[in-house]
Amino acid sequence: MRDINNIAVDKDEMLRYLGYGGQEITQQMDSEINLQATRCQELAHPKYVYNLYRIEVLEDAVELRDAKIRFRGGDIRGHLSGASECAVMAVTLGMDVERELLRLEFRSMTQALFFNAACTALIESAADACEEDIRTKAKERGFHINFRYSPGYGDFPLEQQPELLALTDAGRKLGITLTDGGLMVPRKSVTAVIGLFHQDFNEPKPMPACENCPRYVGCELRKTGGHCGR
Amino acid sequence: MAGNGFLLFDGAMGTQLQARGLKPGGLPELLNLTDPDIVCEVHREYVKAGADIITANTFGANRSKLGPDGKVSQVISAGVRIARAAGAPKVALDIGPIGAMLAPMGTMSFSEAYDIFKEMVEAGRDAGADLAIIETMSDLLEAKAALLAARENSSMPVFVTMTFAQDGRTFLGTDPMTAAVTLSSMGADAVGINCSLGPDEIEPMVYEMLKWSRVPVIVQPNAGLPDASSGETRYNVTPEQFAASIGRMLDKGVTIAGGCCGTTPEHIALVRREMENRNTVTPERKICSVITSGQRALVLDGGIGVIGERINPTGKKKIKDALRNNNFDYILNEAISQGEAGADLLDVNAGLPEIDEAGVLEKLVQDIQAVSPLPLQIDSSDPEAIERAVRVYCGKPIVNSVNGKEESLNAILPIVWKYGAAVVGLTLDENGIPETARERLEIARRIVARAEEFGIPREDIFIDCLVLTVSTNQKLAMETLKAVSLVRRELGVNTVLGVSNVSFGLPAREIINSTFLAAAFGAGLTLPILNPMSKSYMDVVASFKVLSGEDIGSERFIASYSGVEQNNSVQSITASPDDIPAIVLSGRKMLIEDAVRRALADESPMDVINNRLIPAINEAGDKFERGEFFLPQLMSSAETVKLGFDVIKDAVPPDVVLSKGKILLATVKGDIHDIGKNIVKMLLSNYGYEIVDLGRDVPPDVIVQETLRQNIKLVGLSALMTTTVKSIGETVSALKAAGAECKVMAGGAVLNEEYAKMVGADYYAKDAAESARIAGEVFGQ
Repeated sequence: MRDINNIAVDKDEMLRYLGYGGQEITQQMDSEINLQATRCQELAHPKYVYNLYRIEVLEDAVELRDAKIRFRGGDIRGHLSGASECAVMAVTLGMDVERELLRLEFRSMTQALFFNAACTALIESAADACEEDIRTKAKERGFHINFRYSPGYGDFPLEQQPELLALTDAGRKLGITLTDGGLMVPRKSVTAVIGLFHQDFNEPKPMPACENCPRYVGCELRKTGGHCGR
Repeated sequence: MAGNGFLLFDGAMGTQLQARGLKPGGLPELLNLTDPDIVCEVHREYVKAGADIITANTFGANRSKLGPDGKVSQVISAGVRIARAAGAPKVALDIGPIGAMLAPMGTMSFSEAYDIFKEMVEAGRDAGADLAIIETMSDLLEAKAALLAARENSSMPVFVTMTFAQDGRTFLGTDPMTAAVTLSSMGADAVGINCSLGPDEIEPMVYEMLKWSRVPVIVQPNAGLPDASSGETRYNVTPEQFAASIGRMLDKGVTIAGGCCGTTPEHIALVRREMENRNTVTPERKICSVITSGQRALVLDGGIGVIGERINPTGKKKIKDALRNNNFDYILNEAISQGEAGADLLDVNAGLPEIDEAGVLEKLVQDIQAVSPLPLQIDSSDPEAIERAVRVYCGKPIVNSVNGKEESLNAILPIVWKYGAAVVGLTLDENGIPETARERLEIARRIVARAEEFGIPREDIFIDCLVLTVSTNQKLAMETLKAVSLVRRELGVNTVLGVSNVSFGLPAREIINSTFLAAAFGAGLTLPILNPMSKSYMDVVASFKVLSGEDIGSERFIASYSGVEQNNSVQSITASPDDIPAIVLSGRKMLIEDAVRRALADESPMDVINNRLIPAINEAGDKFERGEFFLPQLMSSAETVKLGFDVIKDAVPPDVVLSKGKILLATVKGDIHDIGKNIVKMLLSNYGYEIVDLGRDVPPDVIVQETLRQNIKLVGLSALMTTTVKSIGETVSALKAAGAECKVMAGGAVLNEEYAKMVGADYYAKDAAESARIAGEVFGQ
């Protein structure tokens, strides 16, 4: 388990999540943005954990050879096809931001919006930090990696969320819990699977284009002309 | 037993199983059925190492992980049997966390959690376990549910341990002192720390527990911090280092020890040697009043604790409305505001004759705890309401109140004892409130004696000598103060007074109250119940803390008051009604109230709403539509308009109806992402609609029931996840099946026009502004 202490809220990202499109920002609003970004950094305790598993890609699933688990669905299979290992990762900002978000929604929706966006920006950065760690360690062993893919994307079922938490021991190490429907509490948490590809054999496939993204239809960013940059 | 009064637990199971080839990802408890020999072998190693208590392999053997089909009792009875077969002197039923967050932060209800634990306890009890250990808890409320389940369904001794991170708190923000106070007050037979970190890291936390626990303290550390740098997790505290650290803790008063992740039979064998070589030590315990919430412990050791009085329907229309309509937003804001104003505790009273007080108080306490970290005082005269509220309360609350009447003593004190609460005793009995201080002291003495007979320690008993109205009987104010000092001196307990009662019927009540408060502090009052939003009272509190020496070096006083000008001239802010559009668009909240007040001088409330506020918010909506505003700007305008609305609502007589119609909003079953719904709620309330907000993770039947009961014409449903959109469909079907005559609008990030229609919604609200247009259409405006 790693604590991440050196990441800051990326304010451009924060505004992007709010659909910011160059509108004039008053001084009052600017100080509100800064206040909530700072508050988010104070209350967040970004932590991540990951484990590596050797895999075998089967016809309709991916088998983890060192664990009694299979990932189901064509999309995760495609994601890991050609990989010899996968990293299963979990990241969270912790319960303090969860609580603050709940409180702010009673106090001021404007503040809650900024705080929520700050947290979203921060959890993405925290997930990036985890991914970077995986990349560096993989490289040392002669592997390169693709990108993170989460349950709930495409046909990778959300029902496998309990297994991802078990594979990372994220309940005990990070305090992530699940609702009946497979949603994580704290809400600002991410689980994902990344493929590790042997440098001598396979090139990892690049991130799919926007149209191929499983979230294409409902994507708020795309609606407002944005792009998640991947 | 290890002898000399110590108890030795075993060490890790999980890491030992992995060393024997167990693959991660599966449920290790299922090995009790599939590979009992491996489990038995691990147990046997620990028995050989000298453990007195073997922890059965039942940590995660709960319904939520194993399923509902009777597997729990199968796995647990096998687990207990295997431990017994391994030669365990004593077998502990192991109870770990469920893995789901309790409401309102999560979606699992307290009673669901209780039932899950109850099933485990019954299975362990029937299998013949000697004790139960509830361990690795992060959530104090979940630990409480498990402890209650164990105590109410078995006579096994129960040990409870929680797990802490390096910052000295659990994932949910509970510190070791709060855990020790709460769980030991509730009757755990031992409390302590397991897992978490290595022995050296948890040592200071263990000492905190020793200082505050009423029962023996148990320690089960990991074999150091896990080191995953090599690719696999390793723990690197050697058995020798481990035993030496535990030895130090035994010398400070720890009497029960064992190991968690990464510990081996060797670690345990060496701890046994430490136990054999010494005698138990009685820890140095601090005895004084402590009240807790999940995130805070308030120590009342001679100092003052301010109890906020605002959450009480008596004489407060808005609170009455909130309680009647089950719409707690206003009350939750009051809770937060009182905390910001400096209250240390909050009194919570939901006593209205026409409502289901027990049900409402239970929910209110949970909702307040989600937004405020302050400990609560549960205020009711109904024993059922008190019990239901303290049962789901996270922490150790105050019960307000018991009195000297036999009936009250017999009904309230058992609840206080069972839940390990503190209690306020009122100095009145069958003969009413005595006039003299001496007589009130005698009632107080009787209450204290009876409470102590029930096993409630004196530091958990507070006495309220009762404030009467000075305008009707002038002698009695000083008599109350005399009673306070007598009670404080002769019984040595903390004292409570509801200060503001004194000034009923007089003008300038704050002046009388402030003077009385200062005098009461002088007489020995420690827990004033007052309105913390009143600066005069808080000034008295802050200044008395300087005079009494509680504010050491006057530091807090200087920090708050230096630089404060001693004049009361407030620069008045003025704004004209014609400025309302500009004020709303720029979100200048401090100007809107004045502008609306001035408008109300010449125009009717409805005109101000229709001709001034709504056009202003419409303009903000149009700007949002055109991309001139982004969402926070629209919200800021909406919040400004809402403040204007509040001014109007306060100004009109209660019988004037301003509502343009009721709209029900809910985030559907399975989904907990409700920020979008809350944005819609804020905007719609700007147009004069009355919003019935059912919250998040709302099952279809609740939505149907409220829609019918309140005759709702427009229902707004939201879901963020692809997986939860189908809940919208189920809700729409349920509404139709029940014959509800309402329109449904649906929204959420993964929805679109087509998809919304497909799940049966009448309208697709792509954003908050659209929802306002839909509402206009439905209500014909």
